[in-house]
Amino acid sequence: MKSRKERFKSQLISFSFLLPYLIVAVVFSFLPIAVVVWLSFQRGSLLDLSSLHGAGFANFAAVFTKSLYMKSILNSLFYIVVILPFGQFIALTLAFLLFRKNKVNAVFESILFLPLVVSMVSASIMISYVLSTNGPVNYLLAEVGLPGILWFSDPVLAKLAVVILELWKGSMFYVFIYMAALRGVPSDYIDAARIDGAAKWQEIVLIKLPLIKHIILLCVVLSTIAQSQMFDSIFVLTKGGPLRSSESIYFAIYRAAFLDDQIGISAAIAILLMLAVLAISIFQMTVLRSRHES
Amino acid sequence: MTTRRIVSCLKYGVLGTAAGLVLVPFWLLTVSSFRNTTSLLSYPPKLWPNDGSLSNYMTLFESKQYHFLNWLLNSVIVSGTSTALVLVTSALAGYAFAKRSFIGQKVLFVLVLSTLMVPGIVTLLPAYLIVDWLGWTNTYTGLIVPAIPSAFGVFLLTQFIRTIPKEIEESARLDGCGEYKTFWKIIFPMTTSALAVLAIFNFLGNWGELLWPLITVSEEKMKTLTLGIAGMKTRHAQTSGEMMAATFLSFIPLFILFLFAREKFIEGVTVGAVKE
Repeated sequence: MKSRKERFKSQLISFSFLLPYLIVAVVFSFLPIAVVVWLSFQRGSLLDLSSLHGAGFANFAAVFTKSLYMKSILNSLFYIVVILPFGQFIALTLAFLLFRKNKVNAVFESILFLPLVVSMVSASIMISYVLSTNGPVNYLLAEVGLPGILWFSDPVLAKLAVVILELWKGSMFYVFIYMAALRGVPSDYIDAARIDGAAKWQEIVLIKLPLIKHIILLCVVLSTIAQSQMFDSIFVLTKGGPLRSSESIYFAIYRAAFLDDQIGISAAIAILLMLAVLAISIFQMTVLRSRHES
Repeated sequence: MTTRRIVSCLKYGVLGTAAGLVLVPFWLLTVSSFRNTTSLLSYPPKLWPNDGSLSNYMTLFESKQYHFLNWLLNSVIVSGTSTALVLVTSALAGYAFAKRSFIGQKVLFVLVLSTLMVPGIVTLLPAYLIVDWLGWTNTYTGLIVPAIPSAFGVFLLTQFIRTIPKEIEESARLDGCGEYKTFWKIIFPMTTSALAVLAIFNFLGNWGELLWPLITVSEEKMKTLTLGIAGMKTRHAQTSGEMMAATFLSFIPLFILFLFAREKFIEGVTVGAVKE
């Protein structure tokens, strides 16, 4: 039997392995979460922190009553609702066409992966040129006799430009998740279906889709969370414009804190976003857990 | 036979279109990086830089207007150092959670996992206040240190180290290895495959990070490449040849790495999905 002293020493050594991570995590992850909760009930300026004073729930009330902030929440919902179905449809289609491993598919796979290697800022620079006034898309439209589109001076078109960019870069991520899932489907299911005389499309719709149902749910959740956190694409492509019409929740949190000097309101929106993401994550965990048990 | 051919045509038609839509923006960027801003903005756009030159690249490296070499160097230093530190701290913490025992272990692990669900922007403002209070704005320290605590890395390494059989540690101890030596000589080298995945995931994320440098760096010379490029695009200069050249140079190193380690890259990017 180890003595008490030895056990204590062993505990200290165990803890020392955790320490390097823990110190930085306390300062830059745990403490900031506590501070942001406190800030959401304060009012004051970033330039003079001593001016902070309690504001009760006024910041949260402001989020829901000022159309400026409400609009950014609605914009984020718009991005989620539009990008989710298109992105998942594109990803599932491409994954079904590509999951069988062969040389031709490997080339396509590498090409489709390229948008995931570059940063969102790089992708934004590329798409902003493609959609620019004298750019390639408007050139093609002119060639077939259609008027050019001024993507960045109309509120709806600006949001659609962001959607195009997010789909171009983001949906490729799910292609690779779905491909891995399809490769994991045991082949005896497929063999059994073939013996029963199932047609190709039946194989896909009736056998494979149900087998990767939980992965589709996972991707729906991941996409919802990712699209609720859009910032880089909007910052580079539209700068939130025209007239703040393409700002997302993420963008509003950044703007409120660092451009509009409304740190209390910024913290309040951040708290609301965090609660929404937590709710989505908990929903996903309970659904997935019940599936594992059944 | 004919239906089969139609299906195959349709399949490659769809794949070809998708591949084309992915590749065309890359091609246009490459072409544009060789054309000067005036011809870039004029109509019609070109698919081949027959009016091209290397002038954009020369401007990037020579003109006083941009600090391109600084940006590149900053990005390499910041992403490289913070990734290395993420790997070490994650492996150490993963070992503590997977193989050791201490008071409060379970509670701490749940706490670490719960920070995974917190969106990055939630901690942005307080983290900025802390960094500002420490006087770390416009420094490498301010860019590197806050990027070290990776709850995801700790989670990944804990899961991985759990699969290492107990006997390996025990035999190391029988051979007279101390507690720390057991980790550094035996466990740490065994985690390389998980560390490689985490390294790619983390490096790509850090290389492309915009928001943190955006709020903590104001000096031109201290900007990272991503922030520098984002700053080249303003309301008045929506597109410029230099911007295209800088973007091209920013992802070429990543493309070359990708060609050499294709499978690891795919694993490194998709590993983010196992967070659930």
